[in-house]
Amino acid sequence: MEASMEPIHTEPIRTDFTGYEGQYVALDWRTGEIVLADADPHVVLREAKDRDHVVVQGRVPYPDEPTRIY
Amino acid sequence: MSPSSTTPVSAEHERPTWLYPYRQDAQLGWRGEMVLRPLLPVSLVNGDRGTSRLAGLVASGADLTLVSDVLAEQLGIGLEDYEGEGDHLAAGGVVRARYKTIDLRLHSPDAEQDEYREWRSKIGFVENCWYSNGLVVLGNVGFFDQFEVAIGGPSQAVAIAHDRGDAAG
Repeated sequence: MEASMEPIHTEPIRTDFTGYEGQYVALDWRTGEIVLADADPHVVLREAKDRDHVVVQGRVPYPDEPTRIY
Repeated sequence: MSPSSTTPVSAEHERPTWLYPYRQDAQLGWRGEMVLRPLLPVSLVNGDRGTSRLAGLVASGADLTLVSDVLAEQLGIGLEDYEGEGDHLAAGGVVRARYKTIDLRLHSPDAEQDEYREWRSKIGFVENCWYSNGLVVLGNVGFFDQFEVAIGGPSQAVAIAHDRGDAAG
């Protein structure tokens, strides 16, 4: 990888997760828009399979759940 | 010095660096601040079966790549036939992981392209997985040992170069 001190300017992809708390979600990877949501992860994984541009992100936490630090 | 000596031998084999903008995580973060994280589109493959594309969290502090055991069903993997197991501290608690060797794919940042890099590694399937924010954590074994990875601060992006290992797709 070439070394560079120049910052790379990119726009983070933002998603509105409001209203999906407790559900597993899949996004359109180009836009960040939620296109699938279900409380059962198997449903989201199955429905996302073979869909173009769709990526399963995981479960949206409730506001009172502890913040995850990895 | 011959003219050709000025050109690196590996130039014709070099692949472009892939640049992934940070993405918003589902959690709002500390005191309401929005959290942007290095999330990459990855999938897991076991023979002729594979998972959906998944958002993998790049986690340089993770020793091992860990995934949720809910993915084992899509892969047709029986976790009773594992290659070892161990406890890991992750997501604020201890998780039990069973190790399996499978193929992983990193997909192009351009969602319009089908290009990907594939490699084979032992990873950990986690029982009773962390409940939120994702199904895949990309750690040192199973990810960082395959690519040159640069995680930007102000850049808010992940740059992946392909000059380590034989990852190909």
